[in-house]
Amino acid sequence: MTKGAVSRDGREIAANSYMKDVIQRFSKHKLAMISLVVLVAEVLLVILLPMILKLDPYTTDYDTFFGAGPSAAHWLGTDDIGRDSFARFLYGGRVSLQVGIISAVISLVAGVPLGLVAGYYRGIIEMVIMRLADIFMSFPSMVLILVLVSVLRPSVSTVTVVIGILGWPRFARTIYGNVLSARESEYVEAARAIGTKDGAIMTRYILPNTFAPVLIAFTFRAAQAIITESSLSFLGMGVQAPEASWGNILYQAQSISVLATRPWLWMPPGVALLITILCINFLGDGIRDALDTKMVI
Amino acid sequence: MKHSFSKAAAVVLASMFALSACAPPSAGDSQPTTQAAAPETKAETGTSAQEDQGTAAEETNAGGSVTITMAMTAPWDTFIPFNTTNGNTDAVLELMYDKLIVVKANGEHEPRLADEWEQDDETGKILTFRLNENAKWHDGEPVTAEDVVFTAKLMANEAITHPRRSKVAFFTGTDSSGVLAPDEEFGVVALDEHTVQFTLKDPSPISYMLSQTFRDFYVLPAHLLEDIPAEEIMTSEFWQHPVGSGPCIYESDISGERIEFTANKDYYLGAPQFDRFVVRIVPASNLLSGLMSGEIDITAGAGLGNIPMNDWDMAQTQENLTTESVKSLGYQYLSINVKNIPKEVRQAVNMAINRDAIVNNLMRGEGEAAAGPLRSNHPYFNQELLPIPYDIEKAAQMVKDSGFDTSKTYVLRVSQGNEVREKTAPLIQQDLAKIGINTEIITTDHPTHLAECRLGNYDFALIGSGGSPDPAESVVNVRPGHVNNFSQNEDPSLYEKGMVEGFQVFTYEERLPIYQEYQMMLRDQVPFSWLYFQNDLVAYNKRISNVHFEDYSLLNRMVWQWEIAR
Repeated sequence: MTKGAVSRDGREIAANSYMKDVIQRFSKHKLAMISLVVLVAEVLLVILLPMILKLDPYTTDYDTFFGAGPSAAHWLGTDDIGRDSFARFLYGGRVSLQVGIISAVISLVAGVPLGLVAGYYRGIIEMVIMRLADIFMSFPSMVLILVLVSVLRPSVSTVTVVIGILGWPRFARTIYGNVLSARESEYVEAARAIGTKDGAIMTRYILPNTFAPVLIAFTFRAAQAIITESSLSFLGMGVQAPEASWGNILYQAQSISVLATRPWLWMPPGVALLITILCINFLGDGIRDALDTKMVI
Repeated sequence: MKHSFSKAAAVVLASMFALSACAPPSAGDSQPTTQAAAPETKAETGTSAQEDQGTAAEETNAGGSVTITMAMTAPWDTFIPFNTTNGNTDAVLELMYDKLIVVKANGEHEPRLADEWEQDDETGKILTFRLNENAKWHDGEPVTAEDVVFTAKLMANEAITHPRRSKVAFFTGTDSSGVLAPDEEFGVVALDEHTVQFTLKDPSPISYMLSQTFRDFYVLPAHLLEDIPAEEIMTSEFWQHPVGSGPCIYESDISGERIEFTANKDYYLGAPQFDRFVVRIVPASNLLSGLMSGEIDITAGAGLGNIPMNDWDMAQTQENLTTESVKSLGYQYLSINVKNIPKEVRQAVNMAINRDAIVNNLMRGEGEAAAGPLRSNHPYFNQELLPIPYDIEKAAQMVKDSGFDTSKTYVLRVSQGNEVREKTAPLIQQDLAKIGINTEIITTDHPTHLAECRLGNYDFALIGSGGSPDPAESVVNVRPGHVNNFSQNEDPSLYEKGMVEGFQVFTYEERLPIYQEYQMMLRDQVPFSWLYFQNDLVAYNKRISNVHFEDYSLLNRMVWQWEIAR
């Protein structure tokens, strides 16, 4: 901890907290700051704009030519069955972001305890958990996800849960490494010496020190989950009609004519996906740089 | 020094790759061609190992072989001809195997394995077919009447279960489901080596029998299958490499992706003009790009391989393609599970579907709204079915009055592969919602879809049919007990009208009133809500001609007649 400054009347101003340091360092990373702003704006837009503009992604507009181009009534035209493309684009954003974030949370909740336990107890538990992680990671995940989703019936929740559950190894392994070093440190030894229970040691001493890599892994995992959901929906196996997601909007836009002559159908979701993933990655970079200058990933 | 050495090594390696592609012309693998011509190679850029041998030769050999690639959007499910009712499978079966006759869209029948056929005048129960004496199996053995008898008997064999059993139920010597009756003589006999006689239990118009029963009755080689016990026949190795008598000889396949055939140059109806035929499964959105690049030569049509609406404009501008909008007899309907949805609600549903939006908006006019299973210009069409009722308020009221449970979410099933049909699902979902019926859409692959619908695991399902010149085509689908009784109908009145009463008489004038009434009964009972006839938007490479897409929904592509320009 840095020594605090002294105020004019002699009181010691509280030393800069760790969080403040982190935030300061983060704000110096321009790309990450921009990404944060963009992402927050994105989330706000997809949540608020449809409510403000009263957009409806499900109802066919029988008065407009199906597949029409952009117009005053439909800013991005209509899709093949007359639904407002702009509405579908925004609602699709909700689904894509939701799947991305929630499945990353699921991966985190599944993977962190497993990694913690594996690293702390070592021995057989470690072997079982880490080998399981190896097995999961060596499977072509897309294939596994496709099979699971087709067996369980594709929907937003199935996709979220499946992607989430299959993402645990990354978190487990990240934490595992950190736990291995943390458990040897003096404060852990001291805690053990005074009789602190294992559970308490893990949650109160070790876990907070692994906060950094977990947060970073979370951002990257969210990005990957968004891509996976889009790919699944693009293959027709993800979010089902009549729900929209960026992936399944792209699925509807595959034909050569749409690609060549109706870019308003596929460009927005495509570009949005690109920007979202880039921003999440930059954000992750920024957080990593801010949190731990010694850490090498 | 080291740097320039590794640079040089890289250049050498790269050039080795490039030079290896310039193989000297070899005569080794060329197909024996009876036509001398400039090389017209449509060989796939070898993804499969089997192709590698032929590719180099085809690309460089002056007397190159002609490969035609047909694309469809959903896969076949078996090579056992009676073990399916899937149109995608029939498209493949009719290449390898023969049926006795072929059905044309104008209602006429032309010879295939059979040269001539007749129905006896007195009883109307005996159909006799004279087989083409030049017909041979792919292994050289002659096709005889015994093969036909064997096939029919196999389909009636109790030991195997399959969806086309009802075909043989028409013949004497079987029980009502089509299983051989042990103490009776089977109604299919070989009168001599090239004459087969079918004896029907009840008189039936020969036009129906030909258009429906014999339309997909594929003949199997007795000499290769008769020694296999019936219990083991469905899993026999024969099906891994089927031997038929058709214009295409099976060579290899990659399940769900492609099948490769070589042409049967000894085909008794005339050797096909191609040397190789490939059936490929291609997603609808890739059909046009495949056609433009030459990877695909022809679409399968008949709803199995149609150009998507989105691509139609671009397709028509392509210099290398011929495009056609074919008014086919095939139709699409909404099957309603009568066990879950009462009659008043079914009638309401029929009245609530916005067919106009589907035909004029979604399909841009490339189709026609369906009042029933027959198109409005069909000779048996009942004009009283028009106009098709469309009244949302009345329909909503009918649903309310019936006491139907509108708090539940019902299941609307659709399959992948037919792009227009897939897109109608959300439209119909909205139509149903307007009258108080909330549905959830479940999309699956086509074989799963059909299986679930047969079991009745749905409330509403989108299904199609190839249609027919014969007005009784739809009756089996509403016949209690039939495998394709998707609506789970238990009321026999439709069957009795359409296939009992309607089969007692044989002339158009006598059949007309019966089938007119049948159509009104369908409108009243609504096991299906007929939606639309879709024009098949098809495209094919300009070098192919003499293709008759209007026949394709009748399982008749006559590939040996296709003319292929050099």
